[in-house]
Amino acid sequence: MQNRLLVGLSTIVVGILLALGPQLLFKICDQEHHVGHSACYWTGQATIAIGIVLVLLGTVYLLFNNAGIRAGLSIGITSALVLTLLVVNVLIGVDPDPMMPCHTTTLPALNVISILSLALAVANTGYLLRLVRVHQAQTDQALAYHAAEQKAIAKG
Amino acid sequence: MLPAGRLTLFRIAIINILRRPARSLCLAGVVALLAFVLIGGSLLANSLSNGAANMADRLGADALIVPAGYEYDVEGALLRGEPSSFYLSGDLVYRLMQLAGIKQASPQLFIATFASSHCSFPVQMIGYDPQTDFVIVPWLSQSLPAGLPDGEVVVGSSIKGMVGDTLMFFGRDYPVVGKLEATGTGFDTSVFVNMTTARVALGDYVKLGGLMNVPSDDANAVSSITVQIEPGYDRATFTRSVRAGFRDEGVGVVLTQRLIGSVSSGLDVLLGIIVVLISFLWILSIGVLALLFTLSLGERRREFAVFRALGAARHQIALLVLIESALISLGGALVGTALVSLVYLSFSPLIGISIEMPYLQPAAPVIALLLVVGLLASSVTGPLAALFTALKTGRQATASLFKAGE
Repeated sequence: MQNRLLVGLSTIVVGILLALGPQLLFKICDQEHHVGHSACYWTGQATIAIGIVLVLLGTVYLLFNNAGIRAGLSIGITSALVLTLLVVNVLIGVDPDPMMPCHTTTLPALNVISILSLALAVANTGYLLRLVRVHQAQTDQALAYHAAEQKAIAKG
Repeated sequence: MLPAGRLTLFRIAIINILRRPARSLCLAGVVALLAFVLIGGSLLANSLSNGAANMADRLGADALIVPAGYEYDVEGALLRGEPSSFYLSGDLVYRLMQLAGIKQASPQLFIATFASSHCSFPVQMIGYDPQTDFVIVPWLSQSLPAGLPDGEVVVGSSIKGMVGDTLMFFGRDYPVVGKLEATGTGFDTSVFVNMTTARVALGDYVKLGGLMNVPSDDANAVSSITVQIEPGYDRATFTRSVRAGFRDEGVGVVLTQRLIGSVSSGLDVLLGIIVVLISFLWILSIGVLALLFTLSLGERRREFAVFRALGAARHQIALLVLIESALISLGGALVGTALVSLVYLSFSPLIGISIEMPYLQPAAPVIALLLVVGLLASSVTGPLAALFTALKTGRQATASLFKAGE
């Protein structure tokens, strides 16, 4: 219950930050006087999409108690955060001028949020996978005990 | 859960920490906060000291002669890289040389580029006279021993162009032939050209509408004159004689010693605040941790009594408490160090811009050293805070432990 609430809600918050942060908080460069759109604009668009996906994953995470399903969702959250880092630093990036706001503010803010969330998501995935393994082992043990019991009853 | 194995003190300490995750996280959180502030404060203080030292090295001249009223603008250009354009009559240099106490004087031409539609920042173009300059030439000669040719530029460390690239200013392309190391001053966001190139750029600037302050009847206009005063000559006398001699022209004098002094005094105040803040937080952390350890160990008297009954020596109980506190501290210190590294290294350029003081991030080995020292200093906080409680717990007799735990 605690894990479900904590991870689900924090994923929703991170999703909202990634989606709205570059537009409102740690803003990308002003596009008004721009010829076409700059790289940071497209990074901002991509993080809106990733942010929405994270909000959806976080919402679904809140609904399921099954550790296996939550582990799957946690892997999805981890992948979305890795994708954010790739979009911001490699695939699209920001404007090359080191003095521009997108370079001094948007890029580090997105990196810090993504790296911290990624560390927590990886730890959570590890925790949930171990929980699944423990549950699985307990179930196997119970089934084996039940089978042995049935066998003993059959033998009389 | 730990895999099965021999029950050592270290192992018992880890089991105890994992058994009380909330308590352990709270204690580690306090140490993480301490590590964050301690290392963050040290990195900030080091960056500011570096910036101030570099500024003193780079300014080079004793005084700058600028148009009256533009003294603050030239400080902004030198310290913070705020681009500005202002102009003086070109023949002032020759007239200035007639004054007593002047050893050398050289003109500089500043042109602030326009905000571009290509997502780039306005920068300061600085033109210097290679024949007379004594400030920029010695510095540029490290990367360009043969001097800077006409039509080519050397860029500061924060300018996006690399050697071999071409940058466009006022509709004209300029090849980049050198890139300077970071200085933590306004020079990092400046572009350097020789005076011939600067005059061409100024012509382009005027053609594109940048008419503000540019004297239309003076082809030799300059923005500032860097002056080296004769050793031993009184600077106040120099300032008075310049102001009196050029009253009609309206010139202002910026003494770099005063400029450095004002930066240094501002820096001293800031460094003082950082030291006080770190010391206060350290004492507070030790106090809070000592209190938390005392409370938590008070609750665990029966547990220690059982250990004693099972044959654990008093010093082993004390050691167990110290190992627990050391492990929690180390965990917290590692998290705090990782966090501050991530935040400081990511936001360092933004801090440099926002702080409006010369700011130069230390070299990688210095950063590594500060991180290690900060990590060690934070890690010992837990054991230090738990020392008294550990000794007290170890000293108590088994019976009193049982009694107290009832």
